Amino acid sequence: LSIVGSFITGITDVANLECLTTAFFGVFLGIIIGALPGLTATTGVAIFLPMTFFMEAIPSFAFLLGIYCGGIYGGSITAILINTPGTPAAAATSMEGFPLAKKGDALKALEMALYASVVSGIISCICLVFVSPILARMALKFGPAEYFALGLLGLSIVAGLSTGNIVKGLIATCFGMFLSFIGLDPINGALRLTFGTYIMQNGITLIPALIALFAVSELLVQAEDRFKGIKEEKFEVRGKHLSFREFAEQWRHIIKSSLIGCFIGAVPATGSSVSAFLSYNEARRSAKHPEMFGKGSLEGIAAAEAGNNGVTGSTLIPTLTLGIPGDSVTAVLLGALMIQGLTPGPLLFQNEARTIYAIYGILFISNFIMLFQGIIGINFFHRVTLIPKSILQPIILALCCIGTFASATRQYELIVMTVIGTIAYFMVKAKIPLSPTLLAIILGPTIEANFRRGMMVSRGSFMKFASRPITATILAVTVFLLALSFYNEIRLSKKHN
Amino acid sequence: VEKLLKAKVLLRRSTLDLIAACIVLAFSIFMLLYGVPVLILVGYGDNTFNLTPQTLPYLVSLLMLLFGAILLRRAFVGYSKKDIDEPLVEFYGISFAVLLLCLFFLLTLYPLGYPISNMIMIIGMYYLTGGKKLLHAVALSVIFTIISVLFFYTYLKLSIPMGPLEFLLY
Repeated sequence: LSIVGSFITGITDVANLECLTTAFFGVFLGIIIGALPGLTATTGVAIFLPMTFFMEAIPSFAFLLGIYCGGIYGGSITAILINTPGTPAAAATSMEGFPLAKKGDALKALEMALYASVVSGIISCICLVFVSPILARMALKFGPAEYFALGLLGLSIVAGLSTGNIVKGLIATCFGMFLSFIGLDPINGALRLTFGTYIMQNGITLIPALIALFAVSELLVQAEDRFKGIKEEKFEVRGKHLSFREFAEQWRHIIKSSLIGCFIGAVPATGSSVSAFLSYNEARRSAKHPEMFGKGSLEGIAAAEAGNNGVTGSTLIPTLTLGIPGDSVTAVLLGALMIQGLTPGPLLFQNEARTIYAIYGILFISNFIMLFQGIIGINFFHRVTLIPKSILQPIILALCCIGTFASATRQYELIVMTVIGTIAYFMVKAKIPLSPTLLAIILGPTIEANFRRGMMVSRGSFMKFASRPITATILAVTVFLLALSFYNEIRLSKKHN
Repeated sequence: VEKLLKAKVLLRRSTLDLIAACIVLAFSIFMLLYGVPVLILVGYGDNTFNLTPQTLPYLVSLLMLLFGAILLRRAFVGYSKKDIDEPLVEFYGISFAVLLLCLFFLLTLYPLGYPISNMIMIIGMYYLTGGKKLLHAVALSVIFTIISVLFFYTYLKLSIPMGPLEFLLY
């Protein structure tokens, strides 16, 4: 009952003009960003995060969670209309949406994607409301050793799953760890890797790093499109509306895919792409008309969209309860929590319960705002892809620069952004994933501080430190998952050869 | 200028992996030999149960050395195959031009002030991304700059350097 009560409190807390307006703008910007090929929800949240520094905590989350939800849905628009998924998670949607659009039923496909996204977003939010307090209560018993092990698990899963090449993922993690070492040591306050400069004692601040990793690198890659002969396509939204019967026929797939999304989202590092493809494959396996898949199946669109939006609430479960992000966008949201002076973890549920309830409320309301905007703007949102890149990219670059500078009003942040942005560009080219680097920057200090505190408690004995039951279990799972990732990679490479 | 922007370097995927592996190895060796022992100072009382501020950086350097070596081995195998179907990675001059714009903004922010520096950067980026009309470029840069100054300087009261345009605010 108290869980339901907290949910209702959350909704009433955010049902005011300020929160609703910011959430409305957030969803609007999110859909536009998601619809633009190449820009993801992560990029959107990263670009607009500096705008929230001076807002109060709850309106700022309303804005950022709005961008998150809208961004995940927005990816489906261009996936359906021009076969160019706005986000990687929408790639599964394009496999069915585009053939349906080519048949002249683009409107039907867009409506199916919208309704499936909204339903699964709400289910995922309910999952967050019920699961996170239970997990937070369990996590209250955790000590430094358990937090160290959890951090390590999060990093190793990200490194292992975020790419086809686990070694590159692990290199990206190590690089992120090095960035997190710069500045003051978390236990003794010793200076590390500052090259004798005063300014580097601040370490690598989060905002410039995440803007560089997800926005600047993307901008540099997209600038090259001008010479790659990529043509901008024009298209129209045509066809009949989705009937209630057609929607109702997909209920089974929507519910099943939403639950898959909830489960996948709660596992750190898996994210919406994995969930969308798993849901799509499951729908194809259990479909009444599997022969329709690949030719414009509504079942496929419903499953893929419910799968990718099903993670929106559940990725926040490990983020809020354990401080371990579920995917790259929640890693950025984790940064937003820290900027607002909130420390993610079980204590957040005790000390800042109202903020947590408000996050539940925002996520729930954002889905309805998305439904409203989706219905009204179905003929409008796809037109954002027609905005010339010569208008869009200067604005994004300027937003990155001013956002980074505004984070601390120092030139140092701009230097960090430029340097890390350059490195990130080469990392993208070398197919080294960026998410592990960001997660390592965020989790690095937590992992190190907890490791050293835990070792002090166990008086320097690693065996004593690692033999606590929960720690030992988590470390064993970490080693097992890493070994499994290596094994799968070797097996796939042998098969490929 | 257009020729420089269009200029591209083509690398085989395995060649790029080889370069990446060499950079990773060089970085980790630098860290092990110089970065951690010299740039991380361990003071009196910093050693508790043999754990110092250097411990984890040493461990991460060693891991990076190991992963770099694995990547080098894999890249070398791919490189020696000389597969003609291997995908090529392209680096265009335009990306470096965008980076130069970032550098320009960073260096001129204080001397020229945010409005001028930002407008030049936007106009530069407009032309880099294929824009052709000067009027559009100027309009875009002026509108964006005014909005951002109003938001960050006037509304949020952030101390953004205004440079020679400081007088406009009084």
